[in-house]
Amino acid sequence: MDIVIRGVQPAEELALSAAGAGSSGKDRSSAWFDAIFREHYARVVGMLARLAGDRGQAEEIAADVFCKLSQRPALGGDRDRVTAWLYRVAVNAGFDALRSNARRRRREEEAGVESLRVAAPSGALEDMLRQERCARVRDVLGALKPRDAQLLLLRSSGLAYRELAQSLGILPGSVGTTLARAEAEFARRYRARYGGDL
Amino acid sequence: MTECWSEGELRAYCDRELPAKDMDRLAAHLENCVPCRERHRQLARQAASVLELVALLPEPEEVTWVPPVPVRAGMRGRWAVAALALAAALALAFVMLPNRIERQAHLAPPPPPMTAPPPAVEQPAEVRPAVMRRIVPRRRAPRLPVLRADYYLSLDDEPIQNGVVMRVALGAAEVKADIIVGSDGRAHAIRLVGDK
Repeated sequence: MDIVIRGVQPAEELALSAAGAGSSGKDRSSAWFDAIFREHYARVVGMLARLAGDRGQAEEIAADVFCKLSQRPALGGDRDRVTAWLYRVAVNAGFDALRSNARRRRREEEAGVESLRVAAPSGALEDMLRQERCARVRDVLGALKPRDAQLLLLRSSGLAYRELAQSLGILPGSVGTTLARAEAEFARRYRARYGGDL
Repeated sequence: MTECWSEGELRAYCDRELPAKDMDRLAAHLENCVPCRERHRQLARQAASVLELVALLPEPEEVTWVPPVPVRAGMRGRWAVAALALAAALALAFVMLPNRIERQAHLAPPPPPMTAPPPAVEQPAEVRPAVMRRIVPRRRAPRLPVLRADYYLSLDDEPIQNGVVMRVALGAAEVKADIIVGSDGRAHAIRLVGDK
């Protein structure tokens, strides 16, 4: 077929509406949402993937969160408020996924131990131990306040204090205190669950 | 000895996130204040241990592909844009069609083959030269599908299992067309509607 007339994708729809421009509030809202999406999508997916342990699931959650954001134009006036809302909702959704995945992960780990017992290929032990450590970290993160887990994950990804403050909706000067308390809480819970030192 | 620094400031100092002036002041203070130095050492050790554990969680591969912005536009806006895109595509198809095909023919059943003998003597004589002139190709036109009133033109390669037929008016000329819209909200086929 020589002519392909394809459907209009949402991004094109957005571009068309932006190109049709004018300075209506709706257009400004679309442009604002587009900027937020492109700035934070990858970071939100990365954080959720580390939390839930599943890249595909992280992308689904992120898309859902951004859809919710698109339906809340009232948030558009304050960029910091929007960013804080975005990460808070994303982390809460990630926590839900983390909890729902916990049972499945335990079954998979048990199956992994069983397969290791049957046949021990090279490197399987290291993989199993690494997965076990990751599961422990996720368990402890899941027991923290979502805000603390969010802070630890984003800091571990290398975000600066200014960016952390924006994602949490707090002042940059408060990040150090919040971070120190989150780390102390993580260490305390980790020791309580798994004993020994970190 | 200067006044002691808060836990948050000591933690920010570990990450070198204090302003440069404060970094120097705090460093000078740590040289003289044993409690602050001890507290700083504890915070730094705890931060390193926790971040090391959290860093065990694998970072996903860099997210280089960003999907289309998931804006849920209203149905009116969606259809308006879809109709606009279809109108533009059809206008392009009309412009690029071979000249020998009369545009009016798209709205009517297919004309008889040009090679057919002229039917009767009583055919209006003034029509035939016009037809003959159109037989001579003026330029090589690309082979494009012809939209006809009786057939749908598929807009993609997906089989159409179910859908809704919607009649729309395209372009400034308000050319009537039927569009089959699938359950996913996208147009899957189109046909022009003849004036019968």
